[in-house]
Amino acid sequence: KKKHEHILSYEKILCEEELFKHRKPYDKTVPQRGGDKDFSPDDSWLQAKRLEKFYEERKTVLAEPRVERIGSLVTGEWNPDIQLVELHKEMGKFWSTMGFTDKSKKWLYPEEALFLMETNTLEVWYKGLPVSIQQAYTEFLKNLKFEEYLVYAHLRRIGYVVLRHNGRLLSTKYERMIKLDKHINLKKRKMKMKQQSVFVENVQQDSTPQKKVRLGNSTDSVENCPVEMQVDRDTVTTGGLSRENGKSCSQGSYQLSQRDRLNKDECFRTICKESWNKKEGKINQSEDIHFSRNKQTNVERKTDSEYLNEGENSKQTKCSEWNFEDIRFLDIGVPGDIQLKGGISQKYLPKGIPPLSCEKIDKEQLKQKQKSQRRKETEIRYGQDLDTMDLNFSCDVSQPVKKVSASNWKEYKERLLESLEHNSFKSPVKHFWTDGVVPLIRPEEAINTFSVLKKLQVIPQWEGNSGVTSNTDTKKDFPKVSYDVYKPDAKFRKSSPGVPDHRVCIVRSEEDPPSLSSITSLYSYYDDEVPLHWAVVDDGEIAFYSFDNVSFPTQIFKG
Amino acid sequence: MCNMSATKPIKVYLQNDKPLIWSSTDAVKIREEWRIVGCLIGCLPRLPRQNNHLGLPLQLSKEEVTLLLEKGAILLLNDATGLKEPSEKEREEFIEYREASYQSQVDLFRAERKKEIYQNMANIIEGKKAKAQKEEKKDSSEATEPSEKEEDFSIDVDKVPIPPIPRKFSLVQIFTESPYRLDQEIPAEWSHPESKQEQLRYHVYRDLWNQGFFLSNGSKFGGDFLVYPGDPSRYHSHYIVICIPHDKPMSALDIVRMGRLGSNVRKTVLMCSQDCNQRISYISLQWSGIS
Repeated sequence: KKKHEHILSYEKILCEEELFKHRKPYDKTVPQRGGDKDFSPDDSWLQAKRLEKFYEERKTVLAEPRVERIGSLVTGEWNPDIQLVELHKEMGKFWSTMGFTDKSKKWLYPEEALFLMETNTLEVWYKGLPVSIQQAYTEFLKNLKFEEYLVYAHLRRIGYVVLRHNGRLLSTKYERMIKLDKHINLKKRKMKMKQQSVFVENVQQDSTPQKKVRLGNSTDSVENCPVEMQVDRDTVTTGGLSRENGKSCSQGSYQLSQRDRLNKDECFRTICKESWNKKEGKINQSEDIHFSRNKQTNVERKTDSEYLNEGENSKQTKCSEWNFEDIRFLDIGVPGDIQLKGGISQKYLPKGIPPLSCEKIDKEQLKQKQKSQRRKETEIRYGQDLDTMDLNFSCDVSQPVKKVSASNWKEYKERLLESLEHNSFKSPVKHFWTDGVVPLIRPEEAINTFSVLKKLQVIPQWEGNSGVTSNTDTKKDFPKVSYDVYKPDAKFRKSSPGVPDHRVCIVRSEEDPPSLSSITSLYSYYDDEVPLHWAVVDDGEIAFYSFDNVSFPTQIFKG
Repeated sequence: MCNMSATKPIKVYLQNDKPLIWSSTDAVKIREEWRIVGCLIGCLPRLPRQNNHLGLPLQLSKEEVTLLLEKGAILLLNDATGLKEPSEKEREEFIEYREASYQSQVDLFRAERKKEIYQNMANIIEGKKAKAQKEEKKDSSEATEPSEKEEDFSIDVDKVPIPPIPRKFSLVQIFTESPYRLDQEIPAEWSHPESKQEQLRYHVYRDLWNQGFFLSNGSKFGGDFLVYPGDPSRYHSHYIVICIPHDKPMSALDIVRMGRLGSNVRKTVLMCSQDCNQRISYISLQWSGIS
């Protein structure tokens, strides 16, 4: 039956009758896993029958082919140079969570394409012939670890949205708490961060899609933020913001971000903005700039703001017409003598509101009110008015300590020791300190309960989030986070996926578990509450593990 | 003893250093005839979005491949299914194949439709009659000609015009196994077992297999292998195999650790090692109380 001149081996392909037979999936039952098992073989007929039935089911289920109507299949073309599949048209629901657009073409990552092939959604072609799944397992997974694909498919089958890891979150914990991350344009933030830690490399302005750089890179997330700064700031002078100057500083190009294309002009503008500000010794873009300073700078500032294209959420301050030194608010915070100065003139206030002036305020009444308020507070807190409580120490605590001055450190330490001896604390329990065994806590250390209890901890507790070490040794064994996993959600947007619900690291079972130092650096690098899972793959079987921080509570006893 | 079929050897493809079986008949044979379990790793075509039962390909472990090579049951092939640019003739052949497939499907669908009409003939005729009566009632005020009571509503199935199905309804197969003919099959190099630990693992595996057991991956239970008295689908495993070098010193704590492991899951822990005479020795651990 095999025709030797032909490319297709027809014995492996379904004939039309068989295709027709499989047009509708009749049976969607899957042989159950587990179920009631017997303890050991006992040569009974029943057991043999059950085994036979299992083998029959398995044979049928495994031999079932993948048959689909042409109309319900999406087609794509495999491009081996960039290792991506170009989608001809999108259809169905997968585009909202998979793939990306570049140069008005739609692309799929190889693992996404392979998964869609396996779920009978996509047919990938290569130069006129369709690619079989067997071939795809070889071709598509050339740059991907085999285990990475297995975990990807496992998670996607149970419904999660799995994206390639996108580095750590750009918004801080506080910003997320006040939901500022949804308002700030994170693109600008990204560019700003890139300037601070720029990885200068040559960018080929060719026709390959932008995301290729991320793919082809074997760098992991750590290498995306090294501490070196390679942009030459000195090329930008204060005076002219000429195009030539700008060009020289934009020569160093930047590692491309995953989802937005870094416009050369945009980055040129932001560098100039930043470096100009720094050169002048001015504060950063996000803060107000005092208007009343150098008039020259005002002029320059105007040209700067005209020149720079400001986006909607630009952090660039616009020139303010208000003279903040004229606006004086009452200082009623200081108890005692209320400083009454100034007022707010009409021009700063909206219509209808009378101007605020201090002369009309009753000073005495304000003072009385403050006093009674304070008294009430202390009563609530302490049960009685502070004035009536006797808060004195039984001995004289406040002793003036003579200031120690010296010409170098050695001398200073010596003199300090001397003065400590001289200024010995006159305490009623002075005899404690004369013995060989001294108390653990000195009275001056007894500031609060926490400091006392801390002394009792002989083995100090290690704080997990003790900051990232920029030690290059730890970078070698820094585990690579492969995927960001999101729960399936109708509100999910590929352009701004938000905070992932989980992150996954993939290891083989033969590899060693991560060392404590690599775990700590990982956890401090990702300073958000996203759980990190380790997928251990062992010849096809996947198990998920995670490391959790456990903190022991410090017990506080009353009395 | 297993029934070794002397027909075609099973083809195992080494893709990205993983041995995979793509043919469903081979996957069945390797379990039923050779007692090799392996692990299915692909999506199941019938129900792709679940993790309880996966489909082809079947991934084999290193020990399984070495054993099968020794027994001559498999052919380990280098992956030659890589993508090559097809020639013009080959492209044409495929287009012809699709076209021929479409045309035969048109006939098949047509036959199917005829069958449906034939089966539902009674209903169709009734429907036509009802429709005609309705129209009569509508027209009865206008036309007074006597309607024929016996109108012939029968349908000649063969004369019903059935349009061919549009192309987008035609069925195609997404190929799991590569349908393309290979010019040559290059056997792959296999260098397992290499290290001492790998050798020990393999010898233990082979020894247990020779005794008639089914063996599978043991990492979920903290061991090297799991030993089943019969097919893993029908029986629970009895032993957890841990391979230990013969002269490695062990502390009591290690014994307790292994003992706890086994007793928690109601399995016996087998400590296996190979002595200087290349014989495998087994020591089993079972928790017993002091009575």
